[in-house]
Amino acid sequence: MFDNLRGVVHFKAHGDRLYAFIDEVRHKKVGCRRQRMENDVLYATCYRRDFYEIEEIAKCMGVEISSVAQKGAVFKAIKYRRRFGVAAGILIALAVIFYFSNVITHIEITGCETVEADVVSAALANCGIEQGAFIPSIDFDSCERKILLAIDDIAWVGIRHSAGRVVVDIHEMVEAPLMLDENTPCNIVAAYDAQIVDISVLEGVSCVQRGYTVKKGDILISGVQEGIKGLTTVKHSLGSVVGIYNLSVSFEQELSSLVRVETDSITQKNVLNVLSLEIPLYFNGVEFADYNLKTSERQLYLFGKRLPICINENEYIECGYIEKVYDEQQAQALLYEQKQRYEENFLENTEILSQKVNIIIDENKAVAQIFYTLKGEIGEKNEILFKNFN
Amino acid sequence: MGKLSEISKKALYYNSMIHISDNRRVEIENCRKILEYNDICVRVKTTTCDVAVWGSGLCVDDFCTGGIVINGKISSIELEKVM
Repeated sequence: MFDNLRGVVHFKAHGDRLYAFIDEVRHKKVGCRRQRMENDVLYATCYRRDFYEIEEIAKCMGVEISSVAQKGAVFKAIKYRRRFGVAAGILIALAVIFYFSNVITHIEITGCETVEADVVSAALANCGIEQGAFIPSIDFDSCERKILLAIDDIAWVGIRHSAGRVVVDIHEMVEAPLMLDENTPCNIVAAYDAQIVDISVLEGVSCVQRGYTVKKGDILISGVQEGIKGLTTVKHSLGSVVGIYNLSVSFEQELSSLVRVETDSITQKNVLNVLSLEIPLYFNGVEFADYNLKTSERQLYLFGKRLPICINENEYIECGYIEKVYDEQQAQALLYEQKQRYEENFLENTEILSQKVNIIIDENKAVAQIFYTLKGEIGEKNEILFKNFN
Repeated sequence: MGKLSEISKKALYYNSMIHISDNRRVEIENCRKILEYNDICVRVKTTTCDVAVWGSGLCVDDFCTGGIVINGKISSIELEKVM
């Protein structure tokens, strides 16, 4: 095998002074193997490097020498020694392999449910883990600890990489369940002026009965309990008190207002993203003073493999302000929309027995005054405060 | 005088050692000159004698060590004292 690498030359020599030539080769200590004589012609084998010396000896001795065959990788390599493109290609290929094996090309974040992936990406970037970073210079153990300190909601983080792909596994913190306050002594008091229609007491002393009318702040269920022997104890009152009460709310709607709207002027600016290096594919900046931005990403693939190159398409839509004037019907419709939103958000668990809507429209605005008659929970907890005798 | 020459050659390892391996290979040390060389006979001169190796398909290897290796089908070896 070594001969194949170094290269061997099979040569033949003939002439009058052939024996002198052989002796001179031996005398000069030139390695010459597999010598055989056929019809006064010497056939032999030598290393490529020694062949030039043998040629010199043959020239001195007047012996004709010629190469019969050349074997070895070195002869094939010599043929391509002037093909600089091949060498350059090999070097470039090696450089590309080295680069993509040691540089972060893609970051995958897994396990994010409540924590935003962008927050994790920003924390990783602060630790030096971003596209284009040199992997051997990153201390992943240290980065894991830094990320744990940076983001409170993460319980455990593991970072690993294979070639240029970095995978960040995240385990989020499990939130402790909300503690129910069932021990603090408290009364249940009325939140509205109401008439009681139903009461159920689980803990505490009932102070009202069905059919009673109460004012806001009256105690409905008391947490203070007096024993037979005069011993007073306090408890955490529990129970439900349902009453009928009135509630009035009002909503306003301007009859004319400035509204921000998108115009028809749209311009698209693309950015080439190579390993987080952003190269703008445009010369002029955005000429709009106020605009909405829509972004989309177009990833490049090669033979189904995702390349760390993408084009970010940014669509800028110019925005302007126009004065919008509402007539009475439009204003009423908007007021009813507000009313509906209020009922969905605040009166979801309350039964609406009746409602009266008064709409007043003047020059500038429309006001809706709504008087509800509601049936629902009126009790709210009110903590009993003690003086500290210690 | 001749005896002294013999002793000095032995002391300086100038005498030839000939090693025969079956009838395929002969190694001759301290070979000074090849006198005759073809595919049936190789005659070489050593420090003490002329060695003629007879056979067929003879082939010589030289590894720059002062000796030669003769490969081939060897039939006989003749030693002739140099006077």
